[in-house]
Amino acid sequence: MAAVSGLVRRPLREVSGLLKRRFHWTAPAALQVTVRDAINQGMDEELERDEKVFLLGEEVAQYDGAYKVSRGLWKKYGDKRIIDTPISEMGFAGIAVGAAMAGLRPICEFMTFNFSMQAIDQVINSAAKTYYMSGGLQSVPIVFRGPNGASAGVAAQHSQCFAAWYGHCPGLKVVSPWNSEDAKGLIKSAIRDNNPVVVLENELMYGVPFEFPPEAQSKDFLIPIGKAKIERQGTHITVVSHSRPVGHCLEAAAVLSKEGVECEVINMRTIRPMDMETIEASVMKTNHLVTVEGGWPQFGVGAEICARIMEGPAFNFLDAPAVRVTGADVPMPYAKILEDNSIPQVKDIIFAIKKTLNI
Amino acid sequence: MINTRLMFCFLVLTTLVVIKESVSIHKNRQSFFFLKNYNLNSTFDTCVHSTKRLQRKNAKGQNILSTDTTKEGVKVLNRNKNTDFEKVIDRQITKESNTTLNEILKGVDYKNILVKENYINPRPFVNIDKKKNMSTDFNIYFENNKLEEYILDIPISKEELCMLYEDMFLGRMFENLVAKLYYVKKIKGFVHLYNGQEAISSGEQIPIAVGLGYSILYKKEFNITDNQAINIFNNLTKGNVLDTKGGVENVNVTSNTSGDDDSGSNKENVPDVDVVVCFLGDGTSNIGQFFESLNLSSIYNLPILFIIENNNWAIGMEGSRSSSNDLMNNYNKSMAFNIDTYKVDGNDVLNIYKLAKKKINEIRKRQSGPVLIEAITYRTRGHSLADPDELRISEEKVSWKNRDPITILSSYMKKQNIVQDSYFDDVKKN
Repeated sequence: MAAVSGLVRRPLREVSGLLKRRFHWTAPAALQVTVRDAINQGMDEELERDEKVFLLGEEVAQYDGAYKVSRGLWKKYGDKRIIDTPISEMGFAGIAVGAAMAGLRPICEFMTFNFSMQAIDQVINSAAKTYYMSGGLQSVPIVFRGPNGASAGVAAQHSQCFAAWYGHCPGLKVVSPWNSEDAKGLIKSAIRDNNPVVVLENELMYGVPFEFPPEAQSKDFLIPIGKAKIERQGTHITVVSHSRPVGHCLEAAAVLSKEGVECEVINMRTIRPMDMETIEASVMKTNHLVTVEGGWPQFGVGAEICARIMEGPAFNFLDAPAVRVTGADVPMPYAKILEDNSIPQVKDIIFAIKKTLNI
Repeated sequence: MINTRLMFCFLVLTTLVVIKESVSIHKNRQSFFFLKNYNLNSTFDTCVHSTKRLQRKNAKGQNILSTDTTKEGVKVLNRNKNTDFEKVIDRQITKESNTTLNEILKGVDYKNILVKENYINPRPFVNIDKKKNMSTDFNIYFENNKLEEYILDIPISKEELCMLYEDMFLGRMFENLVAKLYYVKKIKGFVHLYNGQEAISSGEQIPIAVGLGYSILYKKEFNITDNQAINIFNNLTKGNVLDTKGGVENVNVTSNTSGDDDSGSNKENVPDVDVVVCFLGDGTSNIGQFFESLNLSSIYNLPILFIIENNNWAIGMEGSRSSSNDLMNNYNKSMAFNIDTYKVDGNDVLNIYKLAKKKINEIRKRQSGPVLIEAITYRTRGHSLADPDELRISEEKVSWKNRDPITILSSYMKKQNIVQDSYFDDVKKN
């Protein structure tokens, strides 16, 4: 009898819920969005907002993107906005720069930034220097984007990190997102910016889901270029990084917090113009510094941060020399063990932190 | 003792092997590495050698390499084959070999193929005499003799002629002034002057200026009014950093020193820009970027007009040494991409003007796709003012001075009695 009444009661409860029609308020629960979908959303919203924006690159239209980042855009916007190009980087980068000079707002996608070396003359000589050389007359509102840095098992010629190369050039803005919120905000502000911007994404982060806060779901969510974010507050040491190593730093911080060491993790977000104010403020608070990056050590992002710290007021607050954790000074090997050890791992970061803190 | 002897024998053997291999390479391949005194006859020897081998015969009088698929031959081919792949490959091999051997054995006279009258080795290791490549006789360069018929229907008015003349003259005066200032050290950096080639830019600029368009130049641009000229002089000499910080090469418009720059995309979305004109030199027509831009412009059907200013000389590299195409035939490069090409005398303003007008109007109305024009000219000065210009022969320079574009146009105007003689003096004063 009770079982039979139970059988009847449950559906009645559900039906009564429907009949009552009360407002079903879901808490803004953790919406998990991958970096790939975030970039897709960002580009989709900008393409809708401004007719002058268009995307060109290899396998971007009918193939839905080499890494499926531009999935669904060709079906929505058609051949005039999403353009497939042949394998001629110099050629289509030149087309993009010329279109930007004529007034359009192109997004030029390189399949990886290693192939941007074929077109680096267009990026630097044609795009970056033009505004200066023309005395402010000719602006180039272009975005170069694509995956940068080490991937899984693609060996030396497809694993170079170009943050240092492009960060070296005045006239360019260089941006390096880590999570999906960064990716969406930075690509939107890059497209709306009137300067040439290089967006260095990471192929291994494309499939990683992150929590998407509600303000990031709006169509006007912009992250200002030139501002770093403090991902985790801490007191003992400052750890600065960009792109994928930020995740490793957070893991290292979690491990070390069990031992009592509180790390302050800063996600740089932009490499040029670099946000030294947050880094200096953080160093003045914690008195120790470790920089982490995936690129090679010589003339790299970490070297630049250390040099600027030395030149600024934060030097007087340092209790130990700043340490850089970088990729090995070697072309990326193919063998799995060697490859894993050529990129900064969590244990390397922990080792460096302990070394500076003299633990 | 034994070791030294062994080493000696080893060395001797290796040298013998090396010599033998090198000799065999020389026989089988046409390699020039072992020929110090290169002669044309040696190529014939190797070709003859290879064809003779194919015709070698048995004692019975049968060809050793036979094309007959007799039973014996087929048995050799039909080993135990389990894979389809091998069968397919064999079919291909027999097919191909049959056709080539048959053609040869039919009696194709290989001697006539090899003995061409004007056979020029494209990769000489011996210095070619400079006289052979002297560009004095320009008439041999114009293959497109039907050009005048093609552009007959386009009229030119007196005002247009005067405009062209004044533009060229202004350019010449500007260039000479800049040279003077450079020698007095008021201008620094590189100065690449355009003397002798003014016809091309004035011929192209004016039809563009009539409608809107962007032009990107290789050499220095001087299509400017008098006021602008004065401004530019001020900037260059006093070092005012107001307008142009790029120096001499970027006075008016952004120019790509390494080559060209495709700005012709999505013209439908930007209605102001109808046509893009892109100037290059013959030296940069070998860069990869040029071929990429030709390919892209023909795929996307861009409204772009390429102009190759062919003066046969990069700084010190003559065209025959740097380009693999025939002399003065750089337009062949665009024919591979299905682009309309034309070849023009670059010192005759009227030809260029009429052709450019016609083509630009066609492109504006979207009646034609991309176009390439090759204009043959000569530069009277060196590549830059720092260039001593010793590699060019004086006879060459003197013969081209007779083809100065300004004198050609003025003599034409005088003959046709379009303008009085005093006009030219007025232009000089103003």
